[in-house]
Amino acid sequence: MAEPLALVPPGAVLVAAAVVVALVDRRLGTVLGVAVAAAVTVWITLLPAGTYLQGDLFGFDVVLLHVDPLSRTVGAILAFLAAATVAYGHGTGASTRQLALSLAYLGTGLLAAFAGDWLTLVLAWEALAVGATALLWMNSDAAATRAGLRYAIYHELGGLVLLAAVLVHLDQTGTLVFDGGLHAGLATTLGLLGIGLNVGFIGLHPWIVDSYPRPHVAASVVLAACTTKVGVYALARAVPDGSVVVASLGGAMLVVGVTYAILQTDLRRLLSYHIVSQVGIMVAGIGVGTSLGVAGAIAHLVNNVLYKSLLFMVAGVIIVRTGESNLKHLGGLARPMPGTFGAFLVAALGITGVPGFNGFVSKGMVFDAAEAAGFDLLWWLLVVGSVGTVVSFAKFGYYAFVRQGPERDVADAGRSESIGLVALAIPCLAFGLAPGLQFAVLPGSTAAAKPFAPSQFAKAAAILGAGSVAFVLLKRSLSRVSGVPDLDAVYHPLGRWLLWTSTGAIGGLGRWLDTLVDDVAANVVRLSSPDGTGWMGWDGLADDVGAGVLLVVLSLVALLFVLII
Amino acid sequence: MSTSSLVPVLLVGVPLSAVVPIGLSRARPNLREAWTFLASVSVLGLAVQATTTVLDGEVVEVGLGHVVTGVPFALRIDAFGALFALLAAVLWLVASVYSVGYVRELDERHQTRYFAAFAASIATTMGVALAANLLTLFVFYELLTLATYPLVTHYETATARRSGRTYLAYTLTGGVAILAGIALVYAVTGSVDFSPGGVGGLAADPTLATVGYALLVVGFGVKAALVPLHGWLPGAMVAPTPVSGLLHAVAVVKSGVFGLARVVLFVFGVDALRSLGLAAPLALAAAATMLIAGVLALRQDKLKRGLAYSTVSQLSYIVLGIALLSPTAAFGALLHLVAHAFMKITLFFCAGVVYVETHVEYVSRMDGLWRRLPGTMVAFAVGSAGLVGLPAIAGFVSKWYLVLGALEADAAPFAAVFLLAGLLKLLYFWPVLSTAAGGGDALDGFSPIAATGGGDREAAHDGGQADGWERRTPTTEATWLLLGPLLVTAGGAVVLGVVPDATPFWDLARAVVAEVFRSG
Repeated sequence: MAEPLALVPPGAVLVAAAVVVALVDRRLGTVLGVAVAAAVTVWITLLPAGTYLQGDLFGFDVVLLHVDPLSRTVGAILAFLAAATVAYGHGTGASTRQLALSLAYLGTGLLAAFAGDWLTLVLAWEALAVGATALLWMNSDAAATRAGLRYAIYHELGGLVLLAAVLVHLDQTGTLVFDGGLHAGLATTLGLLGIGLNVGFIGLHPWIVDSYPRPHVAASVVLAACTTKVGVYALARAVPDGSVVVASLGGAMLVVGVTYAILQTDLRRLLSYHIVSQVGIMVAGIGVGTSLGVAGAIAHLVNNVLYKSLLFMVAGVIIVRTGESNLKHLGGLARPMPGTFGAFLVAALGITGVPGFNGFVSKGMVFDAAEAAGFDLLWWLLVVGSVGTVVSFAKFGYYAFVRQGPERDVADAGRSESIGLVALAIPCLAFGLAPGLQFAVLPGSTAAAKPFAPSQFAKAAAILGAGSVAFVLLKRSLSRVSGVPDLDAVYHPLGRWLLWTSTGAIGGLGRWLDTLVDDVAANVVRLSSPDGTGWMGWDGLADDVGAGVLLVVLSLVALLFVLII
Repeated sequence: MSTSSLVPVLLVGVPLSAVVPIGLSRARPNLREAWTFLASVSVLGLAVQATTTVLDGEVVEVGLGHVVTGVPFALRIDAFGALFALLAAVLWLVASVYSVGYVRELDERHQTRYFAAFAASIATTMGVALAANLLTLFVFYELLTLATYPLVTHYETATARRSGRTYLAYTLTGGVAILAGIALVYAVTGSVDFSPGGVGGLAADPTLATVGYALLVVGFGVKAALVPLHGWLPGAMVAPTPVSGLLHAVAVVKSGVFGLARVVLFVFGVDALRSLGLAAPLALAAAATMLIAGVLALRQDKLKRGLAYSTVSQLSYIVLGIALLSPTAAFGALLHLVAHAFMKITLFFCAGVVYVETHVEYVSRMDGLWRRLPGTMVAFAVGSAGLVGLPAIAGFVSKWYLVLGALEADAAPFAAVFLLAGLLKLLYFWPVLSTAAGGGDALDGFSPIAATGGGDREAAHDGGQADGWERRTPTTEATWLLLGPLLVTAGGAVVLGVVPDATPFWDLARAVVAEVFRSG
């Protein structure tokens, strides 16, 4: 029953393409990367559901290619993003190596999405962390390299906890192949912690805002789209039936993320806090756990990859063209950069949930799922978070594009960047106007989804109205805020202190132990030669080791002989 | 004596007898090296032969008279012995190539003594691997100490002599403890033969058995570098790098681990240790060693010393895996014995290339070195990632089994220790790689290495060398005699991480576990 489309995992093809891209001319590599990623996207959408490439990996049954609506949807959007981002990366001046690494990184994301067992997922998960670290590392200054180390530490910790969860699961159930979530109890708790780091549960989120604003602008786009989304995907595998805890954590992420986002002035840091908040909506949907909730969460995942990547691309174009990443020093870019402004509008209207754009549809699904399942508090958190999102993007648009700014003679997005912008903007609109296009592929059930019910419009209008009013009222006070501390202000000094004191204390202990044992050893030798100068003397031993040592051995053998007789 | 019973004798005898022609060919270096290669290729062939025999389910034993009344001097090839012998044989061949490149590039003195002592060390290592009882093992174990002494003191400097003295004081004192332990075991049971699952009868006298066990653990613990008995190992790094790589990351230290495993699994046995409750203290000592040595490594600026502390920590992965008395953990421990050998020898080989090509010995001076030694640093990255436990490299597979085994033994805290120790490796290796990649200033404030004044940091960091290195490609960065071996061992680490079950080590480890945990 060899399915011709399922002979290799799609992720492996992207990784292989990455190797080729790294070796060829930059222009050819770009074309090749875009073409392969686009072909892989089509290929994934055509993959029939089923379990392929079952095998054995160091003694355990594994499934390298597991296709169901969940993995297919997540896989398709990551592959699509790969195509768009290679074109965009070329335009923003990313090196060939960076383009190749982006492809490989997204390829490992695909491997994770199509894993049919926990071992394969963990392997891909850790490879993803390595790829992300390398992307952060590339072309970075000292500050970004330090952030790379912190990223590696955060994700090593998360990876270890997930590994522990999987091994506990294996110990309890005897199998690694996906079969209805992680084993309840310790495995699920550890799993939520390990996966929670990747999705950015509040308390585990500082790495997102610490690292994503720092690397090359094209790397930010890729990173922002993949790691957290693979996390959401894994969460859906770990707790397929939902969990009140997860739903609550999602609501908290939404509100806290948005609050911090509103207070930011750095373009990419602001967008990074929106990752926390947007992923919060997905986490909430998965936590609700009904089929509409999961469908809404994954629809939101797809839509978010589209408009959030678009936003990071817009931010990247601004940074590359103006050399400026602080909203306080920007302004008036709508005139010189109409194309970029247009892309921004599509994405901003998508993320804020304006009817006719994709975010409106998927956010509505999560709203309805929360309401139907009786998560009233969550519903209100979603409302508050949505209002906050409107405030935040009104701010972004106003300060970057609309308000009067310094005269700048800057060019709009170039051809290659525009390919990326347009490729992402079109589905933002298409999925907003014709949700059926998306519903066809989603996991769960979209039967209960009513994207164009009157109540949805009323709710959107209320949220947009409230958000706009709030922005106008808050504008003056917001302009005075800067540098709001987050948990990283606690974690990073704490981590450094822990490292310092533990190396200091254990270093001292180690030296003390060394001298202690050295003394014992020296005394043992001295005992056999009280004056310290005889044949067993400390110095004699070194100079005439042959005889000395031989005597020791012979005396030992003699001792044994005596003992045994 | 049938032909197959010649194999264990030859495995010891061939490298031992190679010492003579090596010594006689002093005047003709190429001939001298030819003897080394002839011996190491033969030993590899014999080890493969031994492996095949064992995997066919046959155990070869050959007596060579008696050491003392009642205790034969005997060699025996079983799965565990074949595992260690095959590992040592493979790596001796690789290390021989590397050694030739190393001593010739550096134009070392006393090359003949070096190669002769190396062959003698391998011969005694084979003896340790193939010993049929504790006393035979002990004899070879002590001889191994002596054979490696000239290699530790190779440079004949004051530091080298001091390190050599420390080395002997530690290991010979440990030897006394082993001997006393053997005597006690013999007194209680009347036998010191290795038998899967234990010799039996030890529970008859719990007190003597416990004392004997303690003496044996302390004795073998010296070479296995259990904290606080590890002090000799960082000092022994004064030896030439191939010695550090093969002997002080594989042969010598692992003979300690091997001895411990023989005591735990083949003399006392799982059941006896369970009923006497003796495994837990060993497990605790190993867990403490993993963490303490992992942290101690963080402050080492001298590359080889850092690697030595990493070895101390890694050896205890194996010891802990054995001490958990669970089949899965023991399997993981045996895999890690092999995995660590490939990864650590790669790292030492890399350190050696760095020294040969640039005379850099300190991490803080490696600023931007990636540009000069790209192939070497890639291999270094592979070895480091493997020790951290990242996927597709040998360390992940063994870590997987070790943690699973700890969970199966209901020892979740030890599972956590395994994972935490991996994090410590990340903290150690990241700054090394980061510095080499040219991000030296990135260490500021985060890595303890960069900021510890004094200590090992004899050389003040003059900084700013990142752009000082000439850019080279893998084909021009170093002689193939150096680069080839380290690429082979790095490749081996990857093979062991991707398809470990395609290697004979996997089958041998399976066979050991099946044999030892037969009843369970």
